[in-house]
Parts: sequence; structure tokens; C-alpha cells
Amino acid sequence: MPTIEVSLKTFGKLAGKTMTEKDLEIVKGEIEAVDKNRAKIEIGDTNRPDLWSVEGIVRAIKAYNGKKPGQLRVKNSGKKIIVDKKLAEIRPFIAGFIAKFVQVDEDLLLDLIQLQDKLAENYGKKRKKISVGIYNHDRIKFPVHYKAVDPSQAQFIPLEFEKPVTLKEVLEEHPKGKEYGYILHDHKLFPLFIDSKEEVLSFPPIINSNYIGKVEPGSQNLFIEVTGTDHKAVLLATNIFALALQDRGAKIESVVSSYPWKTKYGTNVSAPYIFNEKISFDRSRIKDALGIELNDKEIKSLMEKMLYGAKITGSKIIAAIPDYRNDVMHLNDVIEDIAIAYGYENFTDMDITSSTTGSLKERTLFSEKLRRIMIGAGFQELLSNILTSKKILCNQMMYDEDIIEIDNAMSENYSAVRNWLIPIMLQALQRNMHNEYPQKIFEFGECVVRNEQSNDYTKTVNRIGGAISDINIGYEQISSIVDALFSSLEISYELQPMDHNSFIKGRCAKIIIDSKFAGIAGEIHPQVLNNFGIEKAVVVFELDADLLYQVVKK
Amino acid sequence: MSIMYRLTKEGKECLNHGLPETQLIRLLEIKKAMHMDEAKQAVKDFSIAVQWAKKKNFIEMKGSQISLLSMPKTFSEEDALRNVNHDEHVPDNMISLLLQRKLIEEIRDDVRAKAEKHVGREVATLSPELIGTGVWRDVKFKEYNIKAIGVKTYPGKKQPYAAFLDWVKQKMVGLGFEEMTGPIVETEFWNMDALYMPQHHAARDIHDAYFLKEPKYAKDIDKNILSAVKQAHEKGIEESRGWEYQYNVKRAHKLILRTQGTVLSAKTLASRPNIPGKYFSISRCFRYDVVDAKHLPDFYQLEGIVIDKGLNFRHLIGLLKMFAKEVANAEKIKIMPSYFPFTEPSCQLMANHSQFGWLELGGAGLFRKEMTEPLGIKEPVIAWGLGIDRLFMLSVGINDIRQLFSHDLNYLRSAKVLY
Repeated sequence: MPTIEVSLKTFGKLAGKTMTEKDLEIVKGEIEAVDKNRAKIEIGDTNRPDLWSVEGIVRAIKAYNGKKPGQLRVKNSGKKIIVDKKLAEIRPFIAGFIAKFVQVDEDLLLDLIQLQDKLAENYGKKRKKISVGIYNHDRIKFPVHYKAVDPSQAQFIPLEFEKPVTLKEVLEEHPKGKEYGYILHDHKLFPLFIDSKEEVLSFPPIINSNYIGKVEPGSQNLFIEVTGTDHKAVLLATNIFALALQDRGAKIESVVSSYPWKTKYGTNVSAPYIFNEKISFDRSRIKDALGIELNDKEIKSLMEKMLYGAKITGSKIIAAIPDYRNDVMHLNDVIEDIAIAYGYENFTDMDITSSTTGSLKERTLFSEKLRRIMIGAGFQELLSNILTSKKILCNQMMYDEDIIEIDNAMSENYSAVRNWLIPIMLQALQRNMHNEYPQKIFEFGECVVRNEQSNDYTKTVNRIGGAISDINIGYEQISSIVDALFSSLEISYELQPMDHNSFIKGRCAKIIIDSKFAGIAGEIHPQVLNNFGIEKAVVVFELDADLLYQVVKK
Repeated sequence: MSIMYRLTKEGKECLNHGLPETQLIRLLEIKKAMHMDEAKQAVKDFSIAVQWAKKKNFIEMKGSQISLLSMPKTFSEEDALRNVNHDEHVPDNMISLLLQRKLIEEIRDDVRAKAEKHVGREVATLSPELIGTGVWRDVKFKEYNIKAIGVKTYPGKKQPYAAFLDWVKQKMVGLGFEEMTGPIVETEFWNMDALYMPQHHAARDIHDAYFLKEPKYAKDIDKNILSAVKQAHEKGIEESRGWEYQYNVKRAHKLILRTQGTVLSAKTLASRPNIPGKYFSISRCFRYDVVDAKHLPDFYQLEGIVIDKGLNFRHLIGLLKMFAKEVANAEKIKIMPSYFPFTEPSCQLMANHSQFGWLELGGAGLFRKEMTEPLGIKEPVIAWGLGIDRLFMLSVGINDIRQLFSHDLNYLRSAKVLY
């Protein structure tokens, strides 16, 4: 979820009031921290980039409070961006506009950079889908050209550099080139944005030039441009940026992008772009979804509070979707906004009258039986993480098995899924060497094992394991527990000698039920105890609880 | 001090059925004479019977024929056995005879002697000798320091969080919910796509998942469901335009560790659930997070659904209020707007905690039609999830989430049994 910083001073100036909890509710926001004059707000809706700026938040709050925020007023600048055909396969789309008479101060600059960053990083998928550039308009000679160039030929001075370098060198040397170069690595030609005097504006989506691309405080005319791979997202981001700047006092002028092919939005696409999207539905749908009756006036007013255009004829409602929103897919999206404007606190509850029978899975009930027997035998139950490491499961146990490992592990300690419980119990015993003995512990829980037959090559299995550790302890103390479990369940079983690296030779048994392998019992090998750093003998067992369940069910 | 006797096992048998020779002559009393083989069949200790009967002149033997000579008027051994059994006097010669025939034995007097040593004294332990001989009447019992607690006892106990989860499960059953379970390894398809979370959308950022090293992809996904979900993502459904992007079928097969219990709800919806139906799951979920006081790499989620014709947002509010009261014991709650990619409308449930103020208890909403329709469900579905880890932590005063899976026996042994 995006977190944005909002200057409370700017908020107050734009909203004409201080921020309240209800305000945050409307934008699904939550204050994370307040530092002096700046509040960190987490915006819950990952699909509403229009709310990721102080201007966007204020706009929503103003409308909710019945103050109609200004619509986007655009003057045609008559200026053009000419798009190179060769970009079609690289980064095809671009949109731009001019913001005149912007009073650029520290505060505004911070807000602009933040919006630029949130749009490019979050909404723009780390600049892959879209990225935003801001320029000093008065240094540009229009029309500007969005071109595909040879990265080892074309050169310019990027921000923070003093000498011209090639685009190839930018990717190798500039910090931004290193960070975002991955987007262009597969391409032979790179995008370059230049004006009619061959002066470079930027190398999208990597870095601006040090001349046109440098914005400094003072009264200025700005040129804003968005490039990307998703045309709708490019236009949407342009609209969001234009509206934010207008809210901060700028006059917006449109620029036309001229494509050598026909896009979904035409060959000459003017930005900011008017999508003019509408969604219509029968008014009965509001009652179906929300359980409340609203009259036309109420519906219209609630929709306007949420910045929709509303037209109601008979039973039909037509909602005009704001041009900076791309999250309204279904009529229920509009209906949720109506509910938010109505106020969740104003809904009275209704009982669900249908009667159903609750139940637990038979396996869950069986697991409770196993746990009860172990508790009755004086064992303390454990609950552990399922994620652990190969070191614990295999290396320290001196027992190699094909375990399920994580491709993108965050840490070595949680890089594999447990396939048996005994190592986990040994880890627990190691952690309790300072506590009183004897120590009797058990765990019932899920493990994941390989299973080539299953659709995902794995199987989640239920296991039960127990361990006893004390100064004077032997194999029979654990076989007696295994026997107690089986006789309590009236399962007949057999113990057969087994060689297993984790156990002392001659003190390990495989447990057989109906000639099937059901588990293992024995005394842990001293080398394994050394590996875990345990100083007292340990006897353990582990059983396949799924097999026991099947046997008992029969 | 007199010697006491008791019957041996054989003695008890003879008291009940007569001595072997008595058994033999009783048989001959009826038959007068019989073949030896026949008598052997009828009398258990035949050779002993013949030996004593001859000695006592009760019978005579001719070849293999046995015949009765006389019947005694009384059976003195049997009478004596009866007297021994009742602790009554028996003449010494008879005692010797019975001892010789191993029908009685001496009660070793050291038991009594041992007990009588304590007469008039103070004893610590109430021994079996004292109880059996009745000597306990003549001893004084040492008084103990009844405040003393001996070696500490650690009873077998449920793990505290596991006990809480058991309680929650029972609560859910009581509220009419049926349990759902499922595997830990899932496909991205069921974990995300089937929940209408677009493959390349920021909404997936909050669900950063753990991927399997090997193998990376599942074999297959039900063709019909896959194509319906793909269609919903790319072009939408009857009343929705969808996410409008190119859906990657291969990515759908990618194997991950389950990130959210909602996957179980999706699978339940796709397999002809009961309508009306209520389902819940408590499932282990896995998220890519740095482990700290607030995050575990794997943790439990409580989730569920309610399906029925005509369900609306007000039913959802009613359900959340019930959960707040029944599961969290919270009277004061707030329901606020929220966002989940798979619900619309969506909300979050806040509860007022006496100590900590307003806390987020869970999230809920009505599943999007774009999610339910491809799974074959036409009815409205309420989806809800409650933060059970936080609920438990609050109820027992734990601040660090890592303590939920603590191995510290000091904590586990001393934890209060709450559920």
C-alpha cells in the first residue's frame, strides 16, 4: 500500500480546514506517523493513484463535504510531441501538458517529486509501466520529438553529471541508470526525448537532462510528460498530475501527441485526456447491494460527494466516472462509493436468518484425540513455525531428504518447509537446556513432502511427534508412549529394527501398521545431539497422523 | 502369639469340591464299582484320590476294577479346611496333615510383627502392613507442614495459542460454520487469480509470496475454471469490463506457499458449496516479511464466507457485530471503509479495547462478481477475516508476535490455562 507524506500546512491551505479522522475514512487512509508539520498517511486503495497526493486527498474530502472542487480547465497550447514509429516495440506511449505560472517553492517541489515517484514506482511498476518527467518549459523549443536512438551514439548531460555521456554509459554509470536500466536491457534502440533544437529533455524512463530537465524554485512554467507501455495508464497519470498542478494554482495547457500509427485513442491524442467513461445501472441494484432505500435526490447527492457525475432518468442511473480514475469496473464500485458517502456508521445491521449446521472436519476431530492422549501422558504441546532451514531438517539431523525449499527466502532461518517434526522438537529442547528436566514435549502439525503424483509435486501431511529428554532415559520410555497411543486407539502395530543416521544403531524402530510405514521411534544419535548443542539424551517418535486416521476410520 | 493359617489354592479347591478321595468315593457310592479308566476320566487328581482312599480303607482294587468298601460318616479334612478358613480352632495333628498335603499354609507372622513394631509410635508413612493388620489404630501419624509443595509438577498441557484456536473453532461451529482445510503449497491461480487479483497489479505487492525453488510450476489447472478466470481478468464479465490486460496462463501455474486463507474460500466456491452455506478456516499462511515483533514468516488466519440469496451490506454489518461480540467480546465497534482487491463493498472492523482503544479486528466485504461468477456462483457471498493472532495476543497480554510459537518451556509450563 502506498504511503505518502502530507504537509499539514498545505492540507490546511488547500482544504480550508484541519484534517479529521472522518477525512481519512473517506480516502481509506490511515495515519502512520506525524513528524512536526508532515503526516505519513497510508492509502488503503492500491487502485486509486489519484489519492496519492495532498491535492487528491483534499479534492475527495472537499467533495464529500459538499464543496464542489474545480473541474480541470484546459487551454489548447497548439504544441506537439512527435512520436517515432520505432518506439512501438520499445516504449510506445507518451503524453504531456504545460502548467503555467507555477509558484515553485520547497513545499510544492517536495509534493511534485513525491507524486512523480508514487506514480512511477507504485502505479508504474518501478517505471516499467509508466514514468513521469518534469521540465522547465521555457527552455524547450516545440515541437518535441520522442525518438528511438542508438544508445552508443546519442549523448547528453544527465542530472548530477557535468559532461555528456552516451545512453549506454548512463545505464552503466549513473545511479538511476543502474536502478532502472533493466527496463531497456532487451532493446537495441533506446527512447530519447529531444526538442526542435536537438536539445535533450530526458532519456525516459531513466533520467532528465541537466538543462531542460532541471526544475528549480521560483515562478515557472513547467512541462510535464508521462511515457509508458500502457496507453490508458499514461493518460490517467497525466490527468492526475495536471489536476494536482491546477489545484496548486497553475494554468493547464494541453499538448498533442502525434503517433505514426493509430492508437486506441487515435493518432493525435491530446493530453490531459477526456475519457468520458460512464457506467449505468438500475436503481434497484443499490437496494440489492446495500439494503437501503434512497430517493433520486439522495442518490445524486451521494454520488456527487464522491465526485461522480450523476444523471437519473426513471429507474436508470448513469454515473460519469472522473477522468483520473481507472478503478471503476463494475457498478458495485460506484455503489461502494455511495455507501461510503452515506456513511458506514449509518447502516443498521440485519441478521442472517438462514440456518446452517456447523462442523469440524473429521480429521480435525481426530487430531484432537491424538493431542488429548499426549497431554494425558504428561507431554507439553508445542506450536512451531512451519518454515525452517535445510540446516535444521537435514544437515544437523545427518539425514538427507529432498525437501521443499523457498526460491526467494528472506533469511536462511526460514528458507525451507519442514518435512518432519523431530528436528523442530530437537531445536525446542536445545532452547530449553536451562529449564527443569525431565522435558516431555509433543507437536501435532502440518509438514510438506515431495509427491511426484500430485498436481503440485508436493503433499501437505499431518504428523504427530513426541520427545522426552532427561539424564537417565532410554528407548523403552518412548516405545511405551507409542504403545499407549496405539492401544488408546485400538490400532495393532509392529516395531521393526531400522537403520537411520539420526538415531543410535540398534535403538531405532520403524513403526508398521498393516505393512505400511507409519512412523519412527528411537534414541537420537549423540552426534546429532552435538550438532544441535543438546547435552542430555533424547528419545523421540513421529507418526503419520493421516495414516492413523485412515486406519481408525476403517 | 498364635500362628495363623490360610488355605492354599488347592485347599480352596478342596473346600469347594471335596478332597480327591472324597470325590472318588462319592462317585463309587452311586456306581458301587467301576473301571479304572472310567474313574480316571471323572476324578481330577485320580492318583492322589486312589492313594488316600486306599490308605483310609474306603476302597478296594481288583485288577482294574475299583469298588467301594465303606462310606465315612464325617469328612474331617473338609471340616478342618472350613475351620481354617473361618479362623476357628483346628487340632494340631489335623494342621500337620493339611500342611503336609499343602492344603493350608502359615501366614508369615513377620507382617504383623513388622506392623506391631510401630504401636504407640509416630509414623510418617501409612504402610500396607499398617492398613492390613489394623495396627494403624495403635499408631500416631506424624503431622506434616501442609504448606510445603514438593517437587514441581508440570502437567501435560495444550500450547496456549493452540488452545485458543481450538476454542475459536468450537465457537465457529456453534455459529453454524463448516470447516475448510487445504494444502500449504498452492498455485498463484488459486491464491490470487481466482480472487480476481490481477497478475501485474500493485495489489499483489501487499501479498508478496514465497515461491518454490523446485519445481516452479504445477502440472495443470482445471481448464474450465482457468478460462473463466482468464476471461474475467482480460475482458470482464457481463457487467464488468475486467482488468483489461493480457493474462499470463503460465504464471497462473506458479507454485507458492499459501499467502491468505481466502484461497480456501475460492476453492469452496468452485466446488459446489451448500447454498445457504457458512464456511470458515483457520489456516497457516506465509508472507515474505522480515521477522520481528509484528511479523512471522508463517502465521494463522481466520477467514470465512457466507453464501445466500439476497445477502447485502447490512447482513455483513450484522455478521461483523456478532463476531465482535462472540469472538472478541467487544461491545463497541466501528465499521469503516477499506480496500481488498476481491471485495466491493469492502470494510474493516474496529473494536474498542478497554486498554488499547480502537483496534483493527478484521476485514470483510462482499466478493466481487468478477471473482464469484467465474467460479460458478450467482448468489452474493460475504467474505470476512479476523486477526486471530492479535486477538489472542491482546487477551493474554503478549506484545511480541514471535511468542505465539515460542518454544520456551518456562513460558509454556507456567502459562495460564484459559481455554
